[in-house]
Amino acid sequence: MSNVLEFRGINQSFGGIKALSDVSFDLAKGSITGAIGPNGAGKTTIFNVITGAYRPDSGSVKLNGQELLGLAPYRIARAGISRTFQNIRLFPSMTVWDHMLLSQAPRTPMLGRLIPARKVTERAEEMMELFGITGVRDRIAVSLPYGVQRKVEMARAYAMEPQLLLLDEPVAGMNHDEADHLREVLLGLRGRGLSIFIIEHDMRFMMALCDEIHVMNYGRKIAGGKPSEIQSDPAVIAAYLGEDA
Amino acid sequence: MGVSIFIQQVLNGLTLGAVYTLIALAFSLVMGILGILNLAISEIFMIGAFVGFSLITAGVPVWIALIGAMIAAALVSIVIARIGYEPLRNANHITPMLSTLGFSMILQNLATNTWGSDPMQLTLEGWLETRFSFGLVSLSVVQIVVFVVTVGLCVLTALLIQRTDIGRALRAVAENREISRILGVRPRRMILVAFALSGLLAGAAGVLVGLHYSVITPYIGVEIGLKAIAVMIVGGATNIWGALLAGPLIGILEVLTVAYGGAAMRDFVVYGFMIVILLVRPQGLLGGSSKTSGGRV
Amino acid sequence: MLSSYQAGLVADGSILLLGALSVYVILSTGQLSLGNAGFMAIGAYLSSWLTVSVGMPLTLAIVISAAVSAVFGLIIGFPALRLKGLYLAMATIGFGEIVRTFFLNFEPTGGAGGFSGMEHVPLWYILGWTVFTLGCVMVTERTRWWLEIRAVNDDELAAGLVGMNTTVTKLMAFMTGAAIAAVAGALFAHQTLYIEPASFGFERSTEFVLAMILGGSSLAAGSIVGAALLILLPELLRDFVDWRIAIFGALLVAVLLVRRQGVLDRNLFGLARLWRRVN
Ligand SMILES: Nc1ncnc2c1ncn2[C@@H]1O[C@H](COP(=O)(O)OP(=O)(O)OP(=O)(O)O)[C@@H](O)[C@H]1O
Ligand SMILES: [Mg+2]
Repeated sequence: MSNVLEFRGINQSFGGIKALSDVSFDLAKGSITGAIGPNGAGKTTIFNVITGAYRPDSGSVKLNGQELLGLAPYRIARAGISRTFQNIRLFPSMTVWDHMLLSQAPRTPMLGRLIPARKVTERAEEMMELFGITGVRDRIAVSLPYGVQRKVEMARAYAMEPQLLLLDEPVAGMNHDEADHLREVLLGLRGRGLSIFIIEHDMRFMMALCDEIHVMNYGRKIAGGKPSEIQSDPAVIAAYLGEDA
Repeated sequence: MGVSIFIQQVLNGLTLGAVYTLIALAFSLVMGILGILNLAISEIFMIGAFVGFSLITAGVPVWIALIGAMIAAALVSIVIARIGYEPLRNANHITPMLSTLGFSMILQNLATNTWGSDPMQLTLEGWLETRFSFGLVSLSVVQIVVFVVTVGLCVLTALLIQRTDIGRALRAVAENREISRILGVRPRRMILVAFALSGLLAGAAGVLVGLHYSVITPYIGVEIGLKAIAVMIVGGATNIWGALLAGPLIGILEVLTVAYGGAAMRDFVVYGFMIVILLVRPQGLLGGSSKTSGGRV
Repeated sequence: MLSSYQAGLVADGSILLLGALSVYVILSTGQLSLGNAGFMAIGAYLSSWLTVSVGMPLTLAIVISAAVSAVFGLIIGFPALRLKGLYLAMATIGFGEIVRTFFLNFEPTGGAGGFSGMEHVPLWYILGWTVFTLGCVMVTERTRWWLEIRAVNDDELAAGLVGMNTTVTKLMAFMTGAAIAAVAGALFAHQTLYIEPASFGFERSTEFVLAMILGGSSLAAGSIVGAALLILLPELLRDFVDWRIAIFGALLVAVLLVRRQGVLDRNLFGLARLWRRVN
C-alpha cells in the first residue's frame, strides 16, 4: 500500500520551546491514522506544519511524492489537504450554507464562481446530509452549539474534495451518540478512498476507529502502531501515567 | 555660502524634525501599546497649538503656556479614550480607528469655529526674539527651545517607560493584553495612561510648531500632524524609539526638498519615502524582524 | 422636474455613492482605504485630459481612466500582501497625499491652478453609471466571489487554510475599488467642470468612508443610504451649517458605538426575505 503523506524529520521550535523534535511518520492511502498524546505534546503543531500555517526549521512533508514545505497554505489546501481546527474557525458572518458553497469555490475556475452551478449546490446539500446539519442550513454557523460547529467544519473541509482530511479533536463537544455517528461517517468516507488523520483525546473513540496510531509526548513521537500495540506499549503507558501523577 | 545655507537648512530641518518626533512618538505610543492608529492625534496636536497660542497671546509665560497646552491636549485625548476607544477595544482594529476619525472631524470643526480658519499670527517678544549668528548660519532662541523641550520630553518618556512601574505595566500590555490582565495590570487604566501620555506629547508639539512658524491654522493637523504617521512608519511603528531617528531624518529631508526642489514637492517626498519604506522594509528602520507568518492556529 | 439645484444634489449624491462604494469593496476584505480620493483624482484628471486635450468620447475616457486607476490600485494594494490592516490604512493615506501633490506640481494639467474645459454631462448619464456600478456590485454580492471576500474579512488565516488565495482576493478588491473611485472622479470632473488638487484631499477620502460606515458597511446598498444622509442632512440642518463636519463626526462615533454595522445591514435584508417567505 502506498503512502498519501510522508512526514519526515520535522523540527519546529518557538523561541525556546521545541514543539516538534525530529518527528517522522507516514500515512497510508485510504487509512485512518490517529495522533494522541498529552496536552502540549505537539499534535496540533503537526497539522499546522502539514497545512503550511507554520514553517518548520527542517524536514520534509510530501503529499503523494510532492513536496509541500514552502508552499502557501492555500496551495496545500488545493493540492488536496483540508482540515478542521481545534479552536473552531468558522467564518463569523456566514451561514452554514455559505460555508458549504465557499469551500468549493477555490476548486472552480474564476468565472464559474459567478454562476451558481447545479453541481456545487448538489454537493453542498450532500455534505450537509452526510454530517447531519441540513436542519441548520440557514443559521449563522458560529451561533450553533460546539458539537454542531465541529460538524460544519468537517463538512466544509470535506466539501473541498480532499485526498487527506485532517481532523483536530472532532469529538470535543459531542455526546456519545453523536461521536458514534461520526465514527460511522468517517469509516464510510474511508470506504470511499479518503485518507484521514485525526487527533483526539477520547481513547474509546480512537481505538475503535483508527488503523494506526502515533503517540506524541513533549514534541517527540514515542510510539506508533496498531491500536492494540499502542495500548500495551510501556512508553505510552508511562507518558500517560506520568501525566496523571 | 553654499555650505552655510546647507547647514542652516539642516538646522531648520532638525527643528521641524523635533516636532515630528514628538507627534510620531504620540502616534506610536498608542499604536505600540494598544495596537490602534489614533487618527485624532493630528488634531489634538492642532488643538495644543491653539491653546498654547491663545495663552501666549494672553500674556502667559511660554513655559506655563506649554504646560497648559499639554494638559489641555491630554484631557482631549482622555475623552477620546473614554468615549471613542474603550467601548470599542474588543472590536476589530478598524473600528476604533474610525471613531478616532470621527473625533478628528469634531476637533477640526471646533477649531475653525472657535479660532476661525484664517491663519493666526504670533508676535514673539523679549528673549524669544533673539537670534544667534555664526557667520551666515543663525540659530534662534525658539529653535533652542524646540530642541530642549523635545529632548527633555523624549528623555522623560523614556524614563517613564523604562524605569517606572507604570512603564512596565504599559510594556506588559503592549506585549500581551490577556497575559498582562492575569498579571494584575489593569488594562483600562493603562489605556488612559497611554492616551494621556500621547496627548501630552502631541500638545507640546503643537506649541512648539506655533513658536517655530509663529503662524498656525486649523489645518496644521492634516498638513503636519498626518505626516507624523509617515515618520512613525519610517522609524518602525512597533518600536516607539524609531521616531527619534525618523523625525529628524524626515524633517531634514523635507526642508532640503523645499530648499532645493520647491515647496510643493515636500509632501510628495515625505509620503513617497514612507511608501518606499513600507514596500522594502515594512517593519521600519528600527523595527524588529516582522514575523508575518500570522497568529496561532 | 427637478430644479437645477436639486439636480445638482442628486449628481453630488451619486458621485458620493460611487465613492462610498469604492471604499465598501475594499473594506469588505477587511482593509480600510483612507486614500480613495487619490484614485478619484486619477480618474478626474485623466478623463478630463482625455476628453479635453485628446478629444476622446467621455464613456471611453471613463473606461480607460478606471483601468489605469485599477493598475494604481494594484500597485498600492501590494503592501497589502505583507502588511496587516493598519499599515495599509497608513499607506493609503500616504498614497492619497502623493497623488494630490503630484497634480499640484504637474503643470500639464494646470498644477495648483486646476484644470477646466470639460463639457457638462447630463444627470441621466451620471445616474446611469451609478446604477450600473451599484448593480454590478450588488449582483457580485450574491456570488461565491463575494463569499471569498467576506471570508478574507472574517478570518484571513482560516480562509487561506481552507484553500483561498487571499492575496488575489484582496488585490482584486483593491483594484475594483480604485476603478470605481476613478469613475466617481471622472463624473465629478464633468459635473463641476473645474478640478483642482485641493478637491481630492484627505477630507474627500474620509467623506467616502463616512458615507459607507453611516449607511451600512455590510452591504453595497448601504452606500445609497450613506450618500443620501450626507447630502440631505446639511439641507435639513441649515441652521447648523458651521457645525456640519462636527455633526458628521459625532454621528460617525455614535453609529460605531450604537450600531456598528450602519443604518442598513445584511440581516435587515435577511429579515425582509424571511418575512416574504413566511407570508
Ligand atoms: N505559534 C506558537 N507559538 C509559540 N508556541 C507554540 C505555538 N504553537 C504551538 N506552540 C507550543 O508548542 C507546543 C505544542 O503545542 P500543540 O498545540 O501542538 O499541542 P497539542 O499536542 O495540540 O496539545 P493539546 O492537546 O492541548 O491540543 C506547546 O508547548 C505550545 O505552547
Ligand atoms: Mg492541539
